[in-house]
Amino acid sequence: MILFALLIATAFAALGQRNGLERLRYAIWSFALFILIGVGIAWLMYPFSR
Amino acid sequence: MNETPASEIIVPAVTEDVAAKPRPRKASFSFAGLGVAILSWAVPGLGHFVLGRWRRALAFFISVGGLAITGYLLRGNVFPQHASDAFGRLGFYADLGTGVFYYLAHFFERLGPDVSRALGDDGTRFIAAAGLVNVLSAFDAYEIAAGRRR
Repeated sequence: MILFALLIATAFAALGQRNGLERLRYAIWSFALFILIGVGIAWLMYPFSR
Repeated sequence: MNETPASEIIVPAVTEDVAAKPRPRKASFSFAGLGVAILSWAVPGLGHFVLGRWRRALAFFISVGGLAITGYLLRGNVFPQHASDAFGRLGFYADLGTGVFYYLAHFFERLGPDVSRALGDDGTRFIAAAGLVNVLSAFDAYEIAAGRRR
């Protein structure tokens, strides 16, 4: 999941119209959101896994 | 008749801001853009590299290549051209989006797909995601070549 989030965040940052530092900030932000939302959804589904 | 003399008619002055406002450009087809988009699809990032956007080219090559190769190493399913159902056909189009990496599938995935494990299923998603990202990068390269994006 971390690798997937990292690679997709890189691609999203490259697709944006931002430049330099803003692009890096966007990549870090979207990577963090990918991880947080992924872990959040996993915890939400946890009670239904048993 | 109550006519206003021509000398008293007030004509609104055109300010510089309004005059300088660019008119919306009519979308037209760009053959150069199509060529660059095809290059970008065939080898991820090549279209951007040709346009001089080497950082973006590198980002797309790493992300598409990384997703596709990881998917192959996880033994994800690579959909064949003549799939029997709609899901298989959609999967084929998504996989084909990876360009040259689709044809390298046999090289990286020597043991063939194994979706009986969760990792194999994850690999299938990785490969499909690589194809979709590469299609987006091809659209981006087209827009840059057509002058609609920086």
